[in-house]
Amino acid sequence: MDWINFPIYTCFILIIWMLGLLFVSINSKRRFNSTLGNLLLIFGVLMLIAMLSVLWINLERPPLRTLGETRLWYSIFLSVVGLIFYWRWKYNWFLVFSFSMSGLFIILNIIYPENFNKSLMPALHSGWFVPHVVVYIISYALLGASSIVAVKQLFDTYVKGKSSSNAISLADNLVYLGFSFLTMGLLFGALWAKEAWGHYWTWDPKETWAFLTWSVYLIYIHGRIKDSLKENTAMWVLAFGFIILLICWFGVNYLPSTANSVHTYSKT
Amino acid sequence: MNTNRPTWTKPWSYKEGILISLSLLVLGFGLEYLSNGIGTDNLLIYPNNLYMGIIIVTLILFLAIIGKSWTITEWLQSTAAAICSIGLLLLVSLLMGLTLQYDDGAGETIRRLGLSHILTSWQYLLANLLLLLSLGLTTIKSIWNFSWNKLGFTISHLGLWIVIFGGNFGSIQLERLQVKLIEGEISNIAHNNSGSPIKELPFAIKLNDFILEEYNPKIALVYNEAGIMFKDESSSIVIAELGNYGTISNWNIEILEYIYSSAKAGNKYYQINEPGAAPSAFIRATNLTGTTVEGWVHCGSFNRQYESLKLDDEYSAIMLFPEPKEYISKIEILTTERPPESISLEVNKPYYIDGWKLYQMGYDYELGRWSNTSIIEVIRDPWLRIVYAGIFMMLAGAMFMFWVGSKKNMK
Repeated sequence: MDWINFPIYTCFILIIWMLGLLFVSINSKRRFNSTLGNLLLIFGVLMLIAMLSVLWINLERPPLRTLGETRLWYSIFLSVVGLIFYWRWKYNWFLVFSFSMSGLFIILNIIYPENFNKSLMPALHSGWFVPHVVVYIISYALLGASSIVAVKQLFDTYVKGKSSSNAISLADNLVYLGFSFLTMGLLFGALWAKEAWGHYWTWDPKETWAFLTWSVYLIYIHGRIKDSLKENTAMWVLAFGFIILLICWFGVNYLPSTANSVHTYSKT
Repeated sequence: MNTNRPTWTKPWSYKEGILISLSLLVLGFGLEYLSNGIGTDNLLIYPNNLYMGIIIVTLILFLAIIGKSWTITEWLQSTAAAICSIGLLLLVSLLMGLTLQYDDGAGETIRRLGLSHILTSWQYLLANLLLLLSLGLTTIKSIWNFSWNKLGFTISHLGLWIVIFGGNFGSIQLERLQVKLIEGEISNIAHNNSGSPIKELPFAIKLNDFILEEYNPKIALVYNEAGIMFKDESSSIVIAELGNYGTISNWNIEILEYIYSSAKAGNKYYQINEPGAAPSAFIRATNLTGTTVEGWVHCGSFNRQYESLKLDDEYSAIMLFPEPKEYISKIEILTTERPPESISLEVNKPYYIDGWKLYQMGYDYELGRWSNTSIIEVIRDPWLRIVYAGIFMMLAGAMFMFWVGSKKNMK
């Protein structure tokens, strides 16, 4: 990437976010601190969006092909989800964790910079490309945020010995929204696959893992009906679900079952 | 959930569900082993899929009407059954996600247990049947007790049932064949994957022209001794384009001249248009100590030798083959009833005719953009509309969930 100094630019964003979180966390009852904190966080997100836009223009294709590119989108959506749900639920820890996770994905991109390659194989030249991936990344951001709640709940239960039932309804809301996006992403993918590869579902390893991810969250949703599963079990399902999600997103490329996958675009 | 209730007394819940799921899993592995790892390959063929559909639907209706108050019916309609049946299918699919499928090198035990072909294994079939029963009965119940408030629930469950049924049993009737076309020639013979002709199509295809567009090739470094490419994620790629530059390893590469279609004469490359005339570039490479090397690199083609540029004892610069941007077949569809129709077939844009979908699939990769053959995939799936109906119902269900989910959020 010659047109932008990625590490310096993003480090600046990370510093702004840290300042923002600091202002929100310390004495957030003071209106000035909270407003300034929020503004700093929003400013950082806007900088990230601006960078992605420049990237899009320079690559002359949607920056959605490689894992590094999808991580950038993820950082943006996760921070936006963090802000919106923070405004609604007022949990400081949720804001801190979602921005930390978002920052972690940026740091991953600094440590493992990718070759931002212009070429896009013919199978990806499609109107489905942007909706399929963007819907998926929004869903991953929401579900990632739900796993933050799950881990916090499990920590509170086992270490502190008490958990908040209010936080579980936060998790529920994140999962319902995330799952509806996940379903849309999955089905958009099926409709696209029919156009590009001739069949809507071929159990390609990426598809298998997408199905696994979808099933785990389906279990969570059913388990939450009339408290069918104990709260603790449900939180474990949620934490486990995120591991499956991460395997689907990054891990699939390294599994032995992926030798013949059509979904590996970043290895070339 | 009453945990003190003895197992197998009404109402069944998780304990029974886990026992039922595990029994089905063991039964599946057992049948697979006894069938010597052949699985359900011979069972799931047309028209058996139709019979199976009739049996499943009848069974669901039977349980829903006659066995309405039976313990098993009530269990199948419960959340516990939903979770256990999804869990069973998840477990079986997890095995598929972890093992290489349709691998000829799979060990005897792996193969005999169906792990190398999960999709046609008994355990996969049984898991799907349990899910179809549970999901089917739940759907029927919600249709009979229909309320507008639960519209999202009803259509998403019905949609999923249709997709699972149509996707598993309907797609057995999927026909997926290839037609190999040569420029100027007409063909209506479809081949299978291994190339044996198996079907005469109701229409013929004539290939008028095959066009392949490419991206500019990339410049890379190779180790002289090992002959392998230098790969470092932090180095930028240098695309061969006039005036472009970048750094690979400790070399700055600059493109001073680029010719898309070229041939060598003497020690220089010239623009020429003939089959096999491949890209070349005149580059300048400068390393950190100031050493400069200049020269031509050429990627070569089916009838041209490639040319690399030696930079030092360690590295040489090479040009990679250009990657395809898009490829298009200009074809004519010939039928007995209608006048010929000219179309451009490209990747991601299939063409529909008389129940068949035509896809641009491949070409002669060795000849690349000089290929005069094009491979068209022809696909017929009589169940496609049914599965699509299911998919769109699920999409509508997802929209409902988005809406209701966010309304819940506002409370």
